[in-house]
Amino acid sequence: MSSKYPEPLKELVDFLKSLPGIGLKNAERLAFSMLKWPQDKLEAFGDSVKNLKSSVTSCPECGNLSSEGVLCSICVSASRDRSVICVIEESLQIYTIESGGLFKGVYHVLGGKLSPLSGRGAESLTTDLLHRRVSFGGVNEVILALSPDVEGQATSVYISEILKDTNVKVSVLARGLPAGSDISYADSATIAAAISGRKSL
Amino acid sequence: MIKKLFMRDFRNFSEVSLSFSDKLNVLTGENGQGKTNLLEAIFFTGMLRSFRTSRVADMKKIGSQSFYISCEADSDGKWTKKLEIEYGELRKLKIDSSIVKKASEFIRNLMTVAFSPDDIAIVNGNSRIRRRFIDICISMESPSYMSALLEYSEALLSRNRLLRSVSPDIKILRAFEPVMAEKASVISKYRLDYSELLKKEMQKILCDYMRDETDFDIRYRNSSGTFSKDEYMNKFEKERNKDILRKMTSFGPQTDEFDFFLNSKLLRCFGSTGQCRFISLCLKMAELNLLLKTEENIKKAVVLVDDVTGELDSRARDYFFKVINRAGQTFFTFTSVPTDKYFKEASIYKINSGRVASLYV
Ligand SMILES: Nc1ncnc2c1ncn2[C@@H]1O[C@H](COP(=O)(O)OP(=O)(O)OP(=O)(O)O)[C@@H](O)[C@H]1O
Ligand SMILES: [Mg+2]
Ligand SMILES: [Zn+2]
Repeated sequence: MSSKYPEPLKELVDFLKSLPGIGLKNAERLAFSMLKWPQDKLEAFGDSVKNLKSSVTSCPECGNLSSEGVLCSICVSASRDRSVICVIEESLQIYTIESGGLFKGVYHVLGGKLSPLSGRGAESLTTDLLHRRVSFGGVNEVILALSPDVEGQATSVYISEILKDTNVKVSVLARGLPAGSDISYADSATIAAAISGRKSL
Repeated sequence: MIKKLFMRDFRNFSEVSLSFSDKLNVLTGENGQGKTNLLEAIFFTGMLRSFRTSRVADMKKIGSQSFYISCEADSDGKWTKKLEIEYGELRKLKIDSSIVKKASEFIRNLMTVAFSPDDIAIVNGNSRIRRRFIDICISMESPSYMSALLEYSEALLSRNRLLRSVSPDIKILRAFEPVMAEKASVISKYRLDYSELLKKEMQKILCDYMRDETDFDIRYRNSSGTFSKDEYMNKFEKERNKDILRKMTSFGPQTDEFDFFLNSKLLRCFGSTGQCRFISLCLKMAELNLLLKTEENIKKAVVLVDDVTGELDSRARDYFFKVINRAGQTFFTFTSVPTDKYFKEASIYKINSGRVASLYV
């Protein structure tokens, strides 16, 4: 199939189209608007793309995103409570929890969950690092905030087993209704989880 | 009940749009024209699986990438819901244009019971077919049973995959066991309850139908010998090393069995073909009777009868029609228009190589 665009423009459209949530129409709009950018802006954009992998690194302490190999902004912050570690699958989830504004502890990015069906075992997770952080001392509680599906539940069991020798308190997130939602639109599994996790008033 | 059905690229149908009668519908056509396929599309809209033991991929019209079914159903007498299924690489489900993620939420809208010549395998086939029969019966009534089954099978697949690896990591194996124990306990309790209900209903049907004492029994054989989560956990502890040698999980709901006895003889070993066929028909009638216990379900029930009534004698036919009649809407297939008085009021459709015409006779 011959393209209606010159080859370099088609290449850009193809790159943009491969991003999540971007279809052909959107990719075309983005590419055409970039054609109008001044040269220096394009070069700065190009550099930032080019250096993305080398300049964005993961935090040596928790696995969160940081830059140039230093600690992330949460790990360097003096106001965070280092005695509580919240374990999540991907660093993206840190930003979700942070936007809630309630959690004042620190994080640990696991890098996924155990998935025998897609060939991912313990070696793909940062559990050794987590064990080392907890054994080092000063940690009172580890909160496991993994997805409530089968693999997430198994991974939670696995981690609590691994941390057993450290005697740290391990908890999992409550499952239940999303805040501000209408109960009549919730699915039955969510309602069942919310009922079994109910609290007295 | 189903008011309208649209299909694209489903089996031998390219594009078909149909309206149905609220009550009785008859599909006629020669062999191999698409009668069973149409029933399959209706069943799939209700249960998201086939009543034949075939793969979903085989339902796409040969040569096409996806099929689409849209169905207008009046599920609780209040308003008409639009149910949509698109099956390509992935499955997409919609109710009234909004996306539904969980199959267990989708299937409660239409309750389909299919009578088919293959039903005999429930009695004389392998244990997988009996579990499938019981699983469909319970899932229809209970979405939490269905999600327990789905989660259990995912965990089971994961554990079995680990057991087949060169040197399974015991810690990871153990991590999948609590989910399995919890779900297995839920599944086995439901199965026990349902087999009791089914047995009572069967005894009632046989008593009404045969008008004499027929001794029928169902025994649920729970392969793990326990219903409690804790005991399932103990069982994992005890069997794990053997499972590693066997390279598979050796107990649990996937190895349960349901034994059917007629006059104290195990049917799948000692039943005649006639007895097996007869009992399988009674089991399906029992399933339907149990489903039709509530007004709500009666309105949602759609009964599909594929090539079943031909070999019944007149007394058996009368009884069968009496049971079927309680459901809201029914669909029958025949090779020629039936002359039986029972079908006097029916809407008749003629199916010819994937095309459907409505006949006014
Ligand atoms: N995926 C598919 N794509 C195209 N055609 C298919 C597909 N699956 C089945 N068929 C065709 O559909 C036809 C069978 O239809 P069906 O089983 O509904 O027949 P029927 O009308 O019930 O016949 P009978 O009276 O023999 O039971 C066959 O001709 C078969 O080749
Ligand atoms: Mg057929
Ligand atoms: Zn950090």
